[in-house]
Amino acid sequence: MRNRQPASMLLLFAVLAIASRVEGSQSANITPTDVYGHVQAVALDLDRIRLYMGRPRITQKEIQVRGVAPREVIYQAATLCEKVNRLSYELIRVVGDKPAVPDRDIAPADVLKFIHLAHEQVTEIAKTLQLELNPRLMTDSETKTPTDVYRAVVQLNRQINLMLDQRFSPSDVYEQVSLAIAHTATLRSRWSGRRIPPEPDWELGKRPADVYRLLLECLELVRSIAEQSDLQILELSVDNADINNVTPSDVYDIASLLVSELAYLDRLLNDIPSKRRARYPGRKVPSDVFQRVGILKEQLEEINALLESQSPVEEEGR
Amino acid sequence: MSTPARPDYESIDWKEFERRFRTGALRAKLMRLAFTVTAIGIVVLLINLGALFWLRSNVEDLVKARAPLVDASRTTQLGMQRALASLRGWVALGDPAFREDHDAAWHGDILPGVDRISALLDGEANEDFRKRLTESRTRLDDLWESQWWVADVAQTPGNEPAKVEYELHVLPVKRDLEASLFEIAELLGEGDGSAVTPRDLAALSLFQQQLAAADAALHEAIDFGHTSAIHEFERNVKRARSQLAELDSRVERFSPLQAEHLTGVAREFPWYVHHARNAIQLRSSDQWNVAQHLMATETVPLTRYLSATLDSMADEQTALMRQDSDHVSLAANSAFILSMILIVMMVLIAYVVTNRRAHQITQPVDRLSVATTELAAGILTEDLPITTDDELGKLTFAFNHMRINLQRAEASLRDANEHMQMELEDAAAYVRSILPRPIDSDDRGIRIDWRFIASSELGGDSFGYHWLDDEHIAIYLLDVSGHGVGPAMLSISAHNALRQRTLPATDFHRPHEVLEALNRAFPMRENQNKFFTIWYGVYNWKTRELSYASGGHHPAVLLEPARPEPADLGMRNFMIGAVDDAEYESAATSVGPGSRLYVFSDGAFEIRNRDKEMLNMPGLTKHLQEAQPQEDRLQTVLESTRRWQESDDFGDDYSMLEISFT
Repeated sequence: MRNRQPASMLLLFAVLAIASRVEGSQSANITPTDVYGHVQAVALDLDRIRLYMGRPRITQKEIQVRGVAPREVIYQAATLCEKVNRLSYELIRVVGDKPAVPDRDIAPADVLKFIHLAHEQVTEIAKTLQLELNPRLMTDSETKTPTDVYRAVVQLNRQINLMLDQRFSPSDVYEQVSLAIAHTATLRSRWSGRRIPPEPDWELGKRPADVYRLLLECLELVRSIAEQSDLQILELSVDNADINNVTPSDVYDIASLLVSELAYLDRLLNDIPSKRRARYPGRKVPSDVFQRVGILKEQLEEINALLESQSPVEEEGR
Repeated sequence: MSTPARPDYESIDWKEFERRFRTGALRAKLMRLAFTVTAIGIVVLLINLGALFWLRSNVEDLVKARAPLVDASRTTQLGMQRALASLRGWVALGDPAFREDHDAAWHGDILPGVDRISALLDGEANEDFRKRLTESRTRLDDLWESQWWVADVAQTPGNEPAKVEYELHVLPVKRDLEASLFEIAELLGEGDGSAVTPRDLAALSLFQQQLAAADAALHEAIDFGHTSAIHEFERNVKRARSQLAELDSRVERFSPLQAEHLTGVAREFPWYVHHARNAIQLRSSDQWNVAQHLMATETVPLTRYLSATLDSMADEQTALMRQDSDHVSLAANSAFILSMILIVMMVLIAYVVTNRRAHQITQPVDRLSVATTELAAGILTEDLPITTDDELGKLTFAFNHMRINLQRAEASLRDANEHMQMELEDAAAYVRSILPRPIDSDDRGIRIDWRFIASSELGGDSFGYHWLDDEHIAIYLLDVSGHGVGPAMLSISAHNALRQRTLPATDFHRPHEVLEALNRAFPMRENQNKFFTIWYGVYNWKTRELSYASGGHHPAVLLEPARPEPADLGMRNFMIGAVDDAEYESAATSVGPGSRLYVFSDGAFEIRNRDKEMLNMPGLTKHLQEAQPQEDRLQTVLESTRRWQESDDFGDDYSMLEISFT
């Protein structure tokens, strides 16, 4: 059972005080800079746990992205919650709430709620482990953008992955890709015909880097679809040398990004966006994931071709 | 049609005549008539064809659209049932064969079936039908996607979230608990310096058992969802918690390391219970089996919806098919009746039109026919009216012209005939004038009588007899071939040559020399190919010998009282003039007292009665024999012959000589 220590209680009150301040009248005024400060606070507390666990610090460079929107950040924040939950279970057997991404335009305040939940869980872990935390909110004189927040959350996710016993695996990526397929199928439903194509042949020896590249190709297709629908998505720039060193966690992150973009398009372009949930698929290897991303890619290619060549069913008076 | 003015047939301008009458007008009328009848027939045929095409279109709808649509709907429905059954098999048993069958149902039955329905309804006028088809296609895509997700999740661990929860969250905690309990037991076995009593060990063991029992009940609850298992789990958890409290109260008797493990057990056990209850809650949820839940909430309702939609479409098509069938049947009956009416009308109209036109065409022909008959009978005296300007008008015009010409020719002919008849009568009179007078009695015992009746056309008969000297009398009768003046002239010439005995170097007592001389004198090449037959005889009244010869002539008949049978006196010689230098023979016979010799021309026996029977020589001979008792035998024979032929007129000259020998 959890020991209720005075220091931990003090920390909890401090976090709750911050949360209440955010959730109060200020939610409309929350800026990416505010969110960035909270992400840094989570990073500091997490680093304390990392030291306790004796795990290495992340050494990867920050991901190179541009033009990130809060809706893209919130999916990375959701991933953060997932990973913190897994860390929490491994360390203290506590599994926190798994919030759902709101089905509306995402504001920095929505992202902050996810960051808060992750922070609460990190605090709970530290408290249970009787670790001293410094209850302060990081502030920065520079104005931050959602891109900065996105980069910081991705780095945080990478760090947590290094701290997990059961790291994010191809199975987790498989789940994300399945979710992406569900959103894409809903997008595809604007035209008649088969929404999910047959899966391509299974190929032996695929590595996370192969899956990563394929997902980047999918992201480019999503960008093309978005542009044809007069929408914008973030620009991701990944060094080829970095791709060769990606871990399943990195693949999971890019898959999450893909899901965020597809969910966004799904919500904007369809009357009823997909409500499907991904289910634990059991043990999967990169080749399984590669095969499944193949389905997604073909779906996206079909939509792209349909957008280029024919009018959607809606325009036909559907 | 305007009636042309009556033409002046006396002075016809043939060029004007050709201009007045249109060439080909009658053919044009006949063609118009034929075209009119044909046009009526074509109209009827077109109406029938229209009805036939309408029927064909309806039958095509039935055959090509309605029935195949029903078939395609049923095939699609069956495919959906098959796909659903296969999916259920895959979800329940996990046999890949079911998944293959599921894909086969989609690609073999459902998608081709819907494509076929779409193709059949392409151009369908019914807006509602098209909307429903579009809606059905969307629902079908939904169904395909739904079944894809069901099939995808069915055989994965994630299909049962309770088991995932157990595997990911309960099992690690349980293993930690078991590991801690194992460590405590190990430490006790190693003789760790603790004051643990058997009762403490029993409490520890009991907790271990109750944890195992709770886990077994949890397994049952997750696997089967039994409420009793859940209760059993809760009971065991309660007991385990109680034992754990007991152990906590005795913790001071355990060594520090054992106590640390025991504290870990006390910390972990609530999380075991927490995650186990989460698993039970997930198992109790209606989504405990994701595939089954998807089937129940998406797949089956969609299948039912589509099945009902296809059913209603098929039913509607069946109803429309019946309706169309009724329409086609009704239309076929109507078309049949219409056809019959049209055929009857066509026959009536064709009859009326043809009759009217035919009357217009044949009326002039009938008039011409009657006029021709009247003309032939010689009673047509007036021109026919010309009522048309076509070939019939032209023919009528020509007929009128011909009538006038014929009547002129007839008058000329009649005049010529009368003139010729007069000439023939003159010729006959002349022939009759040169015939000798009958000899009533003679002291030389010879009496000669004759009958001569010239035919209307004047034949070539002539005969004569004269004394060559005191003892011999020549008797002859000749018959020139043909009729008319020409043969009569030849006959008279030959007659004169014999009467005047002008034949050179001829002994007129010798019949064959006379015939040879005549043959030389009258060759047929110099007499318009005319020849004649002759019977020539010389009688010596002192010797009572009759020598005779005949050239192409039938025999004379000698009736003798001493002989019952008549004697035929004739020779088989050539006709006179037919063969140059022909040789003739003669014969002689004695003539008894009271005998009678009959010399006659072929006009006396080559006659036929109404039954076309020929009298012939035997018939004439019989008449001669029958007449013997009579006073005027020649008149008797003449009358007998007239009675036999039932006419007083003869087609050829009738010449008969009777020489009676006393």
